[in-house]
Order: sequence, then structure tokens, then C-alpha cells
Amino acid sequence: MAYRTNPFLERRAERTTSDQEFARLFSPTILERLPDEIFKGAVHVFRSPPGGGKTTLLRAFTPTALRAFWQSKHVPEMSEAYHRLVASEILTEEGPQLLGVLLSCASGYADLPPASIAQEGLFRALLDCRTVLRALRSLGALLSLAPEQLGDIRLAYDATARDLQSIPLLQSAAELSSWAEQRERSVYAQLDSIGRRDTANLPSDIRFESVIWLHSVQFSFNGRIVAPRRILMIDDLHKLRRKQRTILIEELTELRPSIPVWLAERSIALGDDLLVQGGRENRDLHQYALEDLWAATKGHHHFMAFAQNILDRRLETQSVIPTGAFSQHLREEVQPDEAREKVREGVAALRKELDRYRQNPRYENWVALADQHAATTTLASLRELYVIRILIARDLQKRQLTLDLGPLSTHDLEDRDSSQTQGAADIFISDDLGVPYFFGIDRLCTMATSNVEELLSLAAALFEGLEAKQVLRKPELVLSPQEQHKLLTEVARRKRDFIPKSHTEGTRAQRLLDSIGSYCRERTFLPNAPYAPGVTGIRLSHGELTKLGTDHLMQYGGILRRVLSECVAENLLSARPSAASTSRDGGTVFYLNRTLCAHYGLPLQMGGWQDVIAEDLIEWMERGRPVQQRLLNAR
Amino acid sequence: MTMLWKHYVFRRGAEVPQLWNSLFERRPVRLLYIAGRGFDIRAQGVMKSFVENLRSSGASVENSELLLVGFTGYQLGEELVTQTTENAAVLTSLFSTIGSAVEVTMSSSSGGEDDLSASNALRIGTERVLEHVNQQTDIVIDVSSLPRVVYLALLTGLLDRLITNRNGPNPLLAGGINLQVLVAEDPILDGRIQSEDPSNDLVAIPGFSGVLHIESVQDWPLVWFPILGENRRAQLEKVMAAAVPPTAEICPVLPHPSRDPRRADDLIVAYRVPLFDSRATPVSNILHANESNPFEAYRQLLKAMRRYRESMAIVGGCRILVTPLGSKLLTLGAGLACFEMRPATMDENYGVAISHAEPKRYSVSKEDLLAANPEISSLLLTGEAYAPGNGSTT
Repeated sequence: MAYRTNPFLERRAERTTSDQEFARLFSPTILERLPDEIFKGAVHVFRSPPGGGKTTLLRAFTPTALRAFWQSKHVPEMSEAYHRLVASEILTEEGPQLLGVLLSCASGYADLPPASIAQEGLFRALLDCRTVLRALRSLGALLSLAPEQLGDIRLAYDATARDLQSIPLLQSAAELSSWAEQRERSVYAQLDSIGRRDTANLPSDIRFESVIWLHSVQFSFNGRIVAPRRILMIDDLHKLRRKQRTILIEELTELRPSIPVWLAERSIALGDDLLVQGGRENRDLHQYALEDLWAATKGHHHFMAFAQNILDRRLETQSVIPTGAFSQHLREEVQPDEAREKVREGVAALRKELDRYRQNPRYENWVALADQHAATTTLASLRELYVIRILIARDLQKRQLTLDLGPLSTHDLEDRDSSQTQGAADIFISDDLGVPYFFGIDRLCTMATSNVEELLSLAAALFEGLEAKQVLRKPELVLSPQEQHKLLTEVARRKRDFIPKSHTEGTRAQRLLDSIGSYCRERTFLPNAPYAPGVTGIRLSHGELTKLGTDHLMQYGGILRRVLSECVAENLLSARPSAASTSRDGGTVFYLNRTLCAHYGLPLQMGGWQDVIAEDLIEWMERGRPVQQRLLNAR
Repeated sequence: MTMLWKHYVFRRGAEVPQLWNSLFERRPVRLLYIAGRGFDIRAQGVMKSFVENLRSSGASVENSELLLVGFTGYQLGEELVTQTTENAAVLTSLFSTIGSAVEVTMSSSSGGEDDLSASNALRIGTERVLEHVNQQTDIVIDVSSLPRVVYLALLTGLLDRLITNRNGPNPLLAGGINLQVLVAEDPILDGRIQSEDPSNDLVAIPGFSGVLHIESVQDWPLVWFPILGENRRAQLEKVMAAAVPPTAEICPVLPHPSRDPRRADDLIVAYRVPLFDSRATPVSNILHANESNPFEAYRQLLKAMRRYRESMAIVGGCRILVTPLGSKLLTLGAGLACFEMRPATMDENYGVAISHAEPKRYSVSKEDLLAANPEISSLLLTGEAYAPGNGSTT
């Protein structure tokens, strides 16, 4: 007997069972966002945090996935992907035309013997024979051949192949495959010995010849030329040692490949590192951050569309609850009955607070308006009361600097109100009264922080809630805002609690993130909501970032740098460049992961941040930040 | 079906001193004693008992060396650091009555980008320890305060050194060298030791990683044996994410029978999400192994591995992956099964790998350490006991 699985728990699309399944779950909106230049001869580096879609993107161009897209051209929900691939001439009526060769750097390169020069040569040699082997096997898959039919593929070479020194120019695909297989196994017979390794006779290549081989070779099958277009795709570059990664990117770029070479790795945290490790952008080297691809031009909406598409496709794979749009199971509004008591309580508290200004002629119009709102105990009127309170607090602070004492009209109130202030009022209401805030498809997608893996883990919790309703035979298979809020904040709590168990610098990272969270809360919930709707990030200026690489902070600078890098690489923080202005140096803003924002009770918009200094962060990372009174009261 | 340890020598509790008495009785001994320079004070009890019994057995100790294996790359609290130093001093002092002590440092996790990879560091450290193997008559590894990747590397490395021909006559005789593994185990204390901050890089035991990396075998199906223990879910998920494809056949190994009869059930609940909710592992795949007998885990695992090897041959071959997250005794049993299963050459149609996500941080209260009630076990793996005519017993 097997347990029934939650379709949202199999996190990564690249690890789904079959290619047919992968094609079904693959969201074609991913293809829409790809720039045309990535199909041109050059090195293209894709970066994202884990779960950001790198491997999914690469897997979509492997022969078996392309065949699955091609075979499903008449299946309604998959025809969109088919047509997009046809438009790029990757698929034609005859079948897939592109040979995608996908390799992973997680295949033991980092464990090669650590003698520098020999290691580099062996690294190249291993990558070369693996590329040849994978290319030939992928070709077999592209043509739907059985392994024993590989011998029917003939190889011919153009003039550029004359310079090849380590790869033999064999004319039979079967013979070349056998050469590559034997070469790799003979290497591992030494490398994977239990006792002392004999590394003296291991092969060593002086350049990455397989790239030259891949663009110089011509494949023919039954007298017909096949797979004229190729892409070499190398995943998981972050699994290489630093030196290996550098030589791979540099040397592949120097080769100026005439076929596209796609490299994929995890994002690297701090601005300059990216260039140091990746090489400078030029016409042979292009770099892309996948989050930016999803978010470009149309902002968050692209990820929203992409995310909803993924959720709907996952929902289709199960039969426990009715399929269709995932969003139809999430109620978007708090119904009056659900919040009546809390609203009444809030209105009473706000009225009492605003009573203090009743005798102040400057605010008499605003207080009168507040009285009108208080007459109807709805969530909307409560929000207006909070807005008035925030605007009075702002005005009181401003008055200390001006001599403007005249009464304020209701027009002044409208002028000063904004969507940001309304947003601040919403999070204040949630924090003070426990009215749900984290619900609805928009906030669900925002909490995912442009990350598919995170989206699925949130959706998995909601699915479990729906499943429970189905088991209990509830008449309506829809989660209320309160239920969504509870389930999503529970996922957020688990995410926060799990940090020390799942990250290499997890204990320090958790202390640092908790401290940033408490600091952001302190700034968000100031009575005048100065950074409405709230503060969700901290900024280190270039000067502060530079300190991390010097002896100024002793060993702690390096540790903080490592912890920040890991937090960014693991999507616990999102790094965004912050431009210099006349009054401040440029720097990097580190925004909290949006799911963690839910744990700390912060709003989800990426807006406000506060400048901090490295010493503060070190203190927070090593000892934590004392919890402020406001935080204790609010919790 | 042949098995190297079809007959075996395994003693627990009060039987262990009896074994030592008969093993060392009035004969010359050249000893290499390997122990961890760790915080686990269970190693003290093991050594104290061993030294006392060796001296009372009437053995003539010709040469005796204590190899204290220290580690870098772990983050321990101040209390555990102090405990580690004290432990090393006590171990050295206890051993000083029969021989001298040498320290070897090995790193079992990578500290940063430019460092050695964790697997390479483990290999180098293991080689350093094995350099001390020369003319001994007896080699003892006390695994009580060694991290599991380290003792698995040492165990398989020593077996490879001593058993020169697995298919020859009396392979376990091993030139008469007695290899003995000592464990002071208290499953309750093991369950209380919290491990956190697992490394992102999996650590491979030397000799047990090739099949995960060789490109030409990546299309073979993978059979995964996670040996489950308490508080290791994050490590299990790291291994799953890095090395276990969704097509893998998963065979969880659970401790049963156990001192706590509900232990296996509790573990199923603890691992529900990764193993059953997300992967639909059939419960019929679960293997049960007696938590107190490593040779039972060895037999269960070896038989299952062989069955899979035979049935998967029809699709060209298979890759077998073992992830030891359970108690020390079960881990040792798994180590023996992997050693025996490992193909002699790369041309076989299967391979065996052991992967582990080693934590960087351990924490446990001193009170828990002091309150532990460990029972000493001894596994005699090679030597005179396996000479023809010396029917080894359980």
C-alpha cells in the first residue's frame, strides 16, 4: 500500500517522475520570458536561489522533455508550450530539432584530488568525456533509438575538429560512446578506491575540447543529417570549487563557442562577488538572474501569472478535491460575521484613543469624520480610523517643525491618505486585533518571493487544509481568510524554526534574521507609520560592505559575509542593489524573505528599509537583538 | 548465499570482558587503539574497561599506541569544547599504563569555498590514520566518540587493508590480525544529541561514491536505504535533494525490535512528509533490523541489496545508496554490508555508495551525557577467531 501524495510536496519540477509528467507540469509562461539571445552562440549564465527554476528551464530543452512536448501537441493544456517551442523552431512537424546536452556539476568534480594543475586537467578531461557521452545518449533519445542502435549513427567532422587532441575523431557513435565510457570508468577506478589513490596516470586535458567537438561534429542517421542545432547545458556550477568554476566560465568564454552554452548556478550574494566569480559580461558572456526574468517590465504580475499556472497544473494531477483554478479554493474577503467582534473591539479602542484630540481645534474635523466611521462597525471603517490615527501622529510630529496651527479639513485628510497608509492600517489591524492578513492568491504568490519551491511548500499546506475539509465532508471546499492565515503563518513558523537544521550557518542565520525581523517590526509599528506600509529590509552601504572584507571587524566580518551570502543563496534574504544619491552612498538592501515576513507579522510589500552598520549585524548574528517592548506587547 | 560474516563474534555487556580475556590470554600483543577526541564521555568507560581487562588477561603488551582522532570544522558550545578537552586528557591518562598516545586531526566538513571538499578531507584524514597500521596483532576502533562518516571510513578502510582477497579461503582470518570494533551505545542519549547546521555538501565515504557520479551509469535505477534515527530529518532531506531522484526505490530501515517498542512507529511519523507524503514510499519496502545487533542489520541489508541487484540486472544494472542516520550499531551493520557488496571493479553492473550530510553543530547537555547508561558491545571482525575449525558464534 502506498500513501496518497500531496501534489505540491514534490517540490522541484525537474525531479518529477516522467518526462510526460514534467511536460504536463511545466508552465509555458517560462518560455515567453526567455530572451532570444540565449539561443545564440555564447556562454549564458543563469542564476537564481534554490528552487528558482534553473533546472526546470534546462530540463525543458533535453530531448526526452522536448519529445514529451511534441507528443502532447494535441493535449489542450499542453498545446501552449508546443506552439511556443514551434515558434522558436525548436520543434517542427517532424519532431524536436534541438539536441540539448544536460550535465550536472554535482557529479564529484569538487572531490577531485586537490593537486592544483593536475586537478584542472582532470576536471577538463572528465567534463569532456561526460559531455561526449551525454551528447550521444541524448541523440539516441532525440531519435528514439534503443541503445544498441547507437551504432547506426555516423559522425563526420568539420575543419575545426582537426585541433582536437583528446577526443578521438571516430565515425561510429557506438565506438565513441564506448571510448568515453571506458575513459570515465578508468578514472573512477582510481578516484573511488578505498585505499590510497594512484593519481599519476589520470588523464588531463588542456582545454574544454568537448565544446569544440559538439559544434564541429555532424550527426547522420539513415543517410539523413540530424540534430543540426545543439545546446550544451551545465547545471549546478555552485557545486564546483571556486577555482574550477572560474576556469570553466573563463575558458568556455575564451573558446567563443558557436553553439549556446548555458550554465546555471545559485545566486551569489554580494554585488562584486558575482563579477569576480563569473567574469565580466561581454558579447561572449551573458548573465541572467531568473527572478529578474520573471519580474521584468511587468513587475510582480509575471510571477503571479507563472505561479498561478503552476498551482493550477499541480491541482490537476490529483483527484481528492475538484480541479480547476487553485485560487477558487481561497476566499479573498473577510466576511462581516467573521470579524465583527474584533472590529467592534478595535473601533472602541480607536475611539478612545482619538478622544484625546477631540478638544484640539486642529483635528476637530478629522475626529468628527472618525465618529462617522465608528458608527458603522465594518472592517473598512476600522481601516479609516487607523488611517486617521496614523495621519494625526504624523501631523503631530511635523508640527514640531512648523508653525502651521490651523484646523485641518477632511480634504487635507484625503490628500494625505494613500495606498501605503491604507496598507499600514491593514497590518496594524492584523497585529493589534488578530484579523487575518495573509490570505488570498495575491499574497500567497507574494509570500513565495519569486521562488517556485517556496510557492509549492505554501500551497502544500493549503492543500492539506482543503484535503481535511474534503475528508470531513464540509459543504464548501474553500478556505476562509482565517484558515489561510493560520496555515500560511504556520508554514512561516516552521520555515523559521527549521533554519538551524537545514543551513550550514543556520544557527547564526536564524539569530540574524530574528533580529532583523524584530528591528523591522519596531520601525513598522511606530505610531506615525513613517515607512508605510512597513519596513521589511535593512541596507548596508558600500562602505559597510567593504568593512566585511577587511580586518576591521576581526574574524566576524568574514563570518557575517558568509552568513549573509548563505541567506541570499538560500532565499532567506533577497539582495537588491541600492543606488547612491546626493545624501548617501550606494549599497545593497537585504529584504527579508516574504514568508519570513509573515512569521514576523510584517507586511509583504518590498518597500521600506533601514540603514544599519556591520557592527550591529554582527552583534545580532552572534548574540541576537534584545526583543523590544512593542514586540512583546504585540505578540 | 555466502556471506563474509555468516558466523560472527559479537558480545554485549558482561560478555565483553570475557571475550577480551580469552582473546588476549597470555599472548604477545601489539596494539593500535583508535578513538575519537570527541565530547562523548562514553569513550572513557570503554577504554577503562578495555585497559583493565587487557592487563588482567596476562597478555604481554609488546607495543601499544593510542591514536586519538581529533576533528576540525565542528561548532560546539563552550561546555562541549571543555568536555572534549577533558575527555582527551582522561583517555590519554587511562591509556598511559599500556602505551603512548598520538593525535591525528581530520576535518570531516568543509569550512569554506577554498577549502578541501568534505569528502577529500575525510579521505586524507583516513589515509593518515591508516598509515599507523603496520605490524599490529590487534587493532581496536572505539566508535563511541567518532562521527559516523569517520568511523565508516575507518572501518571500511581497515577491512580493505586486512582482507586482501574477499573471495579467497578464510578471508576473515586476515593474517591473524584481530580487528575489533567497540561501541558504548545508549540509544536514548543518541536520540538526545541534537545535530544542526548540516553541510550543503554531501560527504562520501572513500570508495563509496563513484556510482553516484559516473555519467554512464546515471540512467540506472537507484535503490536507497535510509537507515532512520531520531532528529535527522534535515540531513535526510539534504541527501534526498542532492542524490535521490523521484524514480528511486526507497527502502527505509527501522530499528525493530527495540528497547522502546514504539520507536519504529515514532520514526515513521517523524519522517512522514519526506518519505511518505512526498515520495509515496510503499510501506512494504520497510526493513526492520534489531537495534541491538549490527549483524542483523548487516544481513537484512546485504540480502536486500543482493535481491535488488539481481532483479535490476534485467534493466542493465542498479545504483545502491545507503544513508546511515540511525544508531551506531545499525550504522556499523550497514557499513559491513556496503563493504561486502562493493564491486571489485568498475565493470560490474551495479555500484554501492554511502552518502551523508554531516552536521556542523552538535549540542547535548552535560547532564544528559553524565546520565547516560551505555552498554559496551564488541564486534570482532577479523582474526584468529575466523581460522578454520574455530567456529565463530553469535
